[in-house]
Amino acid sequence: MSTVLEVSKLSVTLEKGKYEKNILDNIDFSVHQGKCLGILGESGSGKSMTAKAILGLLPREFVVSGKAMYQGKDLLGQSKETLRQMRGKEITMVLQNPMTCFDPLYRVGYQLAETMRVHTDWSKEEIRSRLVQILQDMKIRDGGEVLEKYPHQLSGGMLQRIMIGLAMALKPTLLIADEPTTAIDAIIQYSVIQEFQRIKEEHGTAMIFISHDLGAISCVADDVLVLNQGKVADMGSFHEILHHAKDPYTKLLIEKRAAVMQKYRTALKKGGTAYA
Amino acid sequence: MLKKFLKNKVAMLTTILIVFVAFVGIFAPILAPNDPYKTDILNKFSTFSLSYPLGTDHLGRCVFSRMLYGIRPTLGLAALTMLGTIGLGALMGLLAGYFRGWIDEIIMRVVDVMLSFPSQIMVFAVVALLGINVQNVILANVFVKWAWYARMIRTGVLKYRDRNFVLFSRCIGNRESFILGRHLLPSIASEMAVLASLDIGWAIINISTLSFLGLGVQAPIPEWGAMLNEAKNVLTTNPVQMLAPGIAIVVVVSAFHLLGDALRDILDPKEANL
Amino acid sequence: MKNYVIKRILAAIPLLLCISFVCFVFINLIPSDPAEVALRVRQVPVITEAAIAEVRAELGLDKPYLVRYVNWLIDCLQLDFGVSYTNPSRTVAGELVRCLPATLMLAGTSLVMVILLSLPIGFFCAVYKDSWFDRLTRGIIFMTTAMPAYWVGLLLMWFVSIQLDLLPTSGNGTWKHLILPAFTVSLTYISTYIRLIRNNMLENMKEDYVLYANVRGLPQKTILTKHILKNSMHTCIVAIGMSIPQLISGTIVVENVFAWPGLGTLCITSIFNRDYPVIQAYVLLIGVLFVVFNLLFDILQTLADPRLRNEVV
Repeated sequence: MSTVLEVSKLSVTLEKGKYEKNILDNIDFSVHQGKCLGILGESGSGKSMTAKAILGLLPREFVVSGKAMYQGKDLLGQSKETLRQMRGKEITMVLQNPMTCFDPLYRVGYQLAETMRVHTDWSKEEIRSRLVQILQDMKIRDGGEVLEKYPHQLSGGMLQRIMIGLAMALKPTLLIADEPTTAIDAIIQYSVIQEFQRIKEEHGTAMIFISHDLGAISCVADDVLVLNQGKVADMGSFHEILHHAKDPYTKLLIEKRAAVMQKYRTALKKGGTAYA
Repeated sequence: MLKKFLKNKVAMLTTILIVFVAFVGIFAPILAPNDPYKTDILNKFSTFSLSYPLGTDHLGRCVFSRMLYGIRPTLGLAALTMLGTIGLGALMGLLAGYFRGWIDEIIMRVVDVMLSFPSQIMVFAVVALLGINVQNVILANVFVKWAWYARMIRTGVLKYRDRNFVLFSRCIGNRESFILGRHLLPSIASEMAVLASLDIGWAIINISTLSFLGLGVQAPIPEWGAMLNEAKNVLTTNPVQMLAPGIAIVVVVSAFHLLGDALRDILDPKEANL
Repeated sequence: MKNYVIKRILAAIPLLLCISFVCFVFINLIPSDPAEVALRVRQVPVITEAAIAEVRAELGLDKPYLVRYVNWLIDCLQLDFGVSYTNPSRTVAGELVRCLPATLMLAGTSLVMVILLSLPIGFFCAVYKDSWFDRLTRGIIFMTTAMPAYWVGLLLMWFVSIQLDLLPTSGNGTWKHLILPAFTVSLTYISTYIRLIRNNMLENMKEDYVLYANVRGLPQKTILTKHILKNSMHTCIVAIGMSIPQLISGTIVVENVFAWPGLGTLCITSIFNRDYPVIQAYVLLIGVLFVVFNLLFDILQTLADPRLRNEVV
């Protein structure tokens, strides 16, 4: 079980003229092949920033320092072009708002195909057949028709699954999912989480799963990194965090969440439905 | 808000400049070195000198004095135009926004028709219709621009009329006109101020364009646009005649534009940070 | 889709009627009696009551208001705008047609200049935001908006034609005569569109789909041109379309400066001569063009945006 990504002392500072703000402070973590690291934290804790910093997606005002070793190379020191070539192919990402992530003026199929064209030299027909295959794998029926649709004609859940499908299409080493379940409804959330579980088991892709939802993380993550206001609050396997959290913030998070879940279960039991 | 205004360097500088120019215009008879109407053909196209700071034009008149006197029609007419436009537009907008119903419908239909015409053409058409003199220039500009303000102010009124302080005021028995004047007007005043300062620039350019074409202020009255009309014919021999009024227009209009932008920054809380 | 277009066209008709009515009323609001004015303009030496009555009958001014309006409207639809007051031997329609090509050429060239210049400059200002290029351009734009068009024309004339002796100063002959006037007309619109495109692009750059495009590893050039620019252009379509009638009406002043024999010169001459039918026809023409182009480009914008297109179908 090899280490895919090793991040040490990652820090991000926002510098705008005289104004300076520390966003991330000395973050350390590592991600292993076939395992999922969950990054848990409230809004504004810096979860998405971590992913964007590693992939070089932050604008100039953000100063990034530290190390992010991926296959022997420090991502933070690579050229823009090198990073660009890795994005979408070796390291892929699934974003939070699938409805707004696609260009509204182009058909979905075009946008998927253009991604493939950039990273491979496959022919048009090959790209098309692969895309249909991907959609099938994501349990989307009538793949051919869906590819001809515009983004606003598809539901959030379907777009999310298409995003995941595209992320897996080029067999990446690392898949980052940034709050993939936040913007979609509960029923679809479950199927999306199932997808991630399947990806982990079938393809052995290393994953980073970012969320504020403890429930979602509990289904997918093996290890958990808890962030609080840009700093590491806790780090360990999911079991450790759940039962033996060291940081008071983490303990609070888990307590409150467990309390909510308990209340929910009692309410449902009283109602007569047997939900586990 | 006044404090913010005083702190904003651009707003202060431009306001000082504009007030200074207005001052010079008002006190032109005292400040001008020569009579702007006095011709001296023998001395035409003379170069800069102490008695003629910017030289003389094709009729031997002092260009500098004409420039100073020219502030009066240029700024004065523009100010009158703005007063008329804002006055009429505000009245219509307040009525339409506040009372709604059929008053609103009629006024807004009229506004729509007015706005679908190009303003330049309308101004020419009205001047053509009513004859070529100064009052008609103002009337034409007011006629064309009021619709814009009416719509803006109506939108503003609609935003504020259902606010609590207006409802409360009505509850305790204040007259409608009181509510309109005391409550609604100050709320929309800030937006109006920004628009007005940007629009004065438009008014100045428009009035000077009409004068340039011979449809506004007539010769021999010194007005910057009219002066440029005369300068057109003597471009090769005396370029100063063409440059001076033009640069003056650019400076004054730019000052108003900068003031408008600065006002917008002052009055919009979101723009204030970072 | 067809229903939508038809609905929009039908909605525009009342507006066109209103405009035509305003134009009709226009002539009848003249403080003086149009018959008298016509006689004066024709320089008839003695104006008698009989002469006025005759001219009134000739110009059809003795019939009731509404009848005159309908008759006038029917005539207009047949493109018969009456005869010129100054020169009864010439029809207004004839005058308009005579001067239209010159103005169209000027407006057309200006439009081309506007698009060719504002698109790339606006694009690069957005891409290299706050660079020296961006700041310089914004400074120039600021200056240009404070300059009256006619002064720009005079300045260019003085500098290019007289000082540098590169192009002719006035008249209408070769393509060389076209450059300065066209550039003067286009300058105002260039500033507006550079600002528009720059702001649109900057707003679009913050959108989620740009982030996702970067995440997918698309090259910057593709993102900028195929995605950001295309989205920015969409919002500009109506603005650019509307500039066509604006350019046509905006040539008045520049035609005067450069002695370009087009509709603008005709309009100004008519104003001085109090040739009301010509002015009326000109205003009507421009008003109709405005409404028609607004309608046309509104529909085009709806068609071009897949989100709106599907809603409408």
